[in-house]
Amino acid sequence: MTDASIATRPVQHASPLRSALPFVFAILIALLFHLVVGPMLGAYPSRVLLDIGVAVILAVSLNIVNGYTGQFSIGHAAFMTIGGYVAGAITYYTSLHLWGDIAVDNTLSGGHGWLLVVACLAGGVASSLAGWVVGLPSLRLRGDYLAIVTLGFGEIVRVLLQQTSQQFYDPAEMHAATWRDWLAIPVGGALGFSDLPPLTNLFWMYLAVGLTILFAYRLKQSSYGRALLSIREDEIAAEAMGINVTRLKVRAFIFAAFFAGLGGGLSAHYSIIRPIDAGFAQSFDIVIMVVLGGLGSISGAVVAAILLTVVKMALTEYGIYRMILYALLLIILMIFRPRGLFGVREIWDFLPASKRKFPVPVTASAQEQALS
Amino acid sequence: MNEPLLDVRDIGISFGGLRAVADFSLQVPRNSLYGLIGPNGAGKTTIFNLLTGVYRPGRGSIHLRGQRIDGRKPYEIAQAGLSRTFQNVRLFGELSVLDNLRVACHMHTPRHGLLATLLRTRGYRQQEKRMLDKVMALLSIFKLEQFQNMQAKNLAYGNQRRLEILRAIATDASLILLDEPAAGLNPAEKESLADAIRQIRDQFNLTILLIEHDMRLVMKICECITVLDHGEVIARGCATEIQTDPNVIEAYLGDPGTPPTSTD
Repeated sequence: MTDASIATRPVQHASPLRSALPFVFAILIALLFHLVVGPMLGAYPSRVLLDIGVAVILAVSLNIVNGYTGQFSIGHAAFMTIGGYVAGAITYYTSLHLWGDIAVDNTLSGGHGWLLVVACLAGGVASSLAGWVVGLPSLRLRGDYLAIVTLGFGEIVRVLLQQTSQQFYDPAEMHAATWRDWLAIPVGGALGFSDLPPLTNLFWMYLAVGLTILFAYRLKQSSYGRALLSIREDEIAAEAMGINVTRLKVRAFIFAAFFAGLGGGLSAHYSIIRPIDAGFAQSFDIVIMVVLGGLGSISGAVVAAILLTVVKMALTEYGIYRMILYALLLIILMIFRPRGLFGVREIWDFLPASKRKFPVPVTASAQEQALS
Repeated sequence: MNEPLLDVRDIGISFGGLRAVADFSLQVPRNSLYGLIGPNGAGKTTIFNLLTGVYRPGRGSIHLRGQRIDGRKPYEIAQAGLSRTFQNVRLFGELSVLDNLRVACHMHTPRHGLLATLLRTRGYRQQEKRMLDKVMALLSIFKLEQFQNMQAKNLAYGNQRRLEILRAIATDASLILLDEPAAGLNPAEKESLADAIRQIRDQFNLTILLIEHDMRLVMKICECITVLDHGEVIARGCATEIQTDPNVIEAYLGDPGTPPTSTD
């Protein structure tokens, strides 16, 4: 065993500045994307950047359930879609009511950003509620059962959304509607909820991305995060340490659902949302990202989300055949890196020890390398 | 106070038609080192599982510090002040040594909400610092500080067992159940473990109930011993009483006349 494998320096603790600085940083990065990167790249690449942002939010948040807590949920797209529909309904009908038209000013100074923020937060809360309702009964079950329940939940959401009614297209129609019409939930039915105000821009997207990553990271480092990880490692031992396993699982589920809803809200405001978005195929895409990146690794989820979104774009012209390539990619990965790209580690754990600020846990593979 | 710390009365459990434990009673005095021994399959670990809520006793009652704990969930029992180690080490393998202990601090550190955690408020940071200090002090008992950032699964077996004992202490329990703490250790390690267990008991004002097959260790450190066979108590007493008890000798050897193990 080498000295490098055993760090003796105690973990340092953040100063007030270190607590607040990442928020400033997140805002600056979001501004950079909005003011510099976006205009430089042009319209289509900017749109790809938005897609990447959504993918990162979803992968990082699902990682909290599948990676940290070790529960296999495959219904994340359903939470995203719920958030998208709720946020979409809020902005759409608020715009119709206030301005008689959908708000299209998506510049930062345009003044309609508040509506997007409020709507996305509401979407996140709605998703959390759904997460609570689904999680409470099903997280008492172990292993595969949760997968089945979440799978079923996604399909239920998809079918329910298909049963909604046609949206109101103009203020007159909206104001003439009776409560019966509202009860039929006018969010577009099977065709999808279209003409949503395109309020999402790179600033809001990457602010949300930054906050999601930051919160996921801080959660992982905290008492909560450690308790979640201990559940993944050994439920019985975790309970023997006084951890209320069911309650924490449900909380992780709610937390992840919130960010999925937020991501769904942002996604809805630059493209259309359809009931099919809640389905199995979409959920599975997110699961693939998390597994590909390494269960529990935040940076792994980020890298995998970027990678798969770009690959998906590049393969669009091959249509359905891209799934074959996808599958091949996964098979190859599982053969050569069965624990995902980064395993449970973060990207900075791969830096040479001298460049590290903090000592990191030594993993088996690092030890093998040290010993060989 | 003469009231026992742990007061178990007439608990029993059956699996199918098998009575694993029948009418088991046990009074563990405060600050004692209590041994629970018996041949394989006698029901020792089952009793631990009953005490910690993994199984629910079909009858009887369990009181810890005058508080009734039977029928509660395992995490509630842990919160009431009863902690344990496992016969087959159950550490959180992928987590660092430090985090294994910090997980155990989870329940009794003043709780900060999710928001404080995410914003890393002052109170939250101070609490993390306190937790770290406490955990480092614990690690020094077994001189494990140098391994603090290693993944628990990569520790040597003996150190895994030691870490598991520390993890049980980190919960601030008043009663700790050790399930075969010396299993797989070499004679020298067993010797130092015996001293460490005593030291821990004194330092943290703990009560320790242990299951062990190593008679030398049990006889050396336990002030009081209960012997179990086929789910029933066959003897109780101090070390010397147990060693000469004909029932115990018969249970272990089936042949009266030989003590359960060589004594020295």
